[in-house]
Amino acid sequence: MTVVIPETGKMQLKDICYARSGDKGDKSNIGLQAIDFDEKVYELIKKKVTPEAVQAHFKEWSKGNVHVYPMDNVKALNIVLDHGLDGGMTTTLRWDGTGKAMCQALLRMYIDVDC
Amino acid sequence: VSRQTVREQLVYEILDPKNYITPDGTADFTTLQLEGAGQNRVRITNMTGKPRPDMLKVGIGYHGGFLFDIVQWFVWPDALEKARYAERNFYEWLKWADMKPIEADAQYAGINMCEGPTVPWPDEEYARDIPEIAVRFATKWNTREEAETFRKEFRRVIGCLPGSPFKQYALPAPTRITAYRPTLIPRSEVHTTLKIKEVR
Repeated sequence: MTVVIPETGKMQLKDICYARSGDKGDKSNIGLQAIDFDEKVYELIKKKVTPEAVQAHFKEWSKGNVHVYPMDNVKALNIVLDHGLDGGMTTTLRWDGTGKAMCQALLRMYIDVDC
Repeated sequence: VSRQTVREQLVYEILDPKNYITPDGTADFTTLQLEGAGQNRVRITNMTGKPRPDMLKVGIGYHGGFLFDIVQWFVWPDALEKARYAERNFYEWLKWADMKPIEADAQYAGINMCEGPTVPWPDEEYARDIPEIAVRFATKWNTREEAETFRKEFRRVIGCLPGSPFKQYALPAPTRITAYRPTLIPRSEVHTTLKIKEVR
């Protein structure tokens, strides 16, 4: 599958990435992977999926620092929300205590392609 | 097995990919190369890492109160509006009944239960026609008695809403919460012994 990135406009991450997520206590981890190891998609998400953008996307569900670790070798970003799981699996009132659906929630994010 | 499935595992439940800490060594996942090597085969080269850490992780479990949740269904027409009305009443009723949970939350199964605030709220026209919505009222309490009182009283309240079925019987008991906190201790404090027993 070849991904066509337009010159301007918005793209939703679900159309250009895979994602998988899980937990380490109260920390939510989301592995965001450029579809088919696509170099252009990877460069785009590396530029646009910043800690600030992730924080703005998750709003009150992200209560601490956000880290975005680039993994150039596998064209993926590892994203960590320090207090992203409301205390973690055993204490949270959330249904998804281990954050397995956080990856799908991230794929809802739109990014600007231009600039 | 493919480059994709291996990559997916590499980014699963890790923090800093340059420092994936295990008791036996610290792995760096940012140098390795994945290469297809035929059907269901992937070759991994250039894996790097660092020596084992001086500190080890210890998980501490402690009593964190009691959890009780109950699910109520709201049906067409105007299922969402009914659900929101019930949510407002839920918080007001808690105050009126002088019940003081540590936390209380209402979550809309079918809308935002799993993806929370990242989900855009449905527009009005669509919301009017949703066939059914489940609201999960989730609560956390300091004592089992408080949780039990809530369980008994709240089922009476939501059980009398017209046109809104809920599971009257076999409501589960409140769950005791074991909260969890990881921390680090020096490896030198951990003494391990190994015994091997032969079983015939």
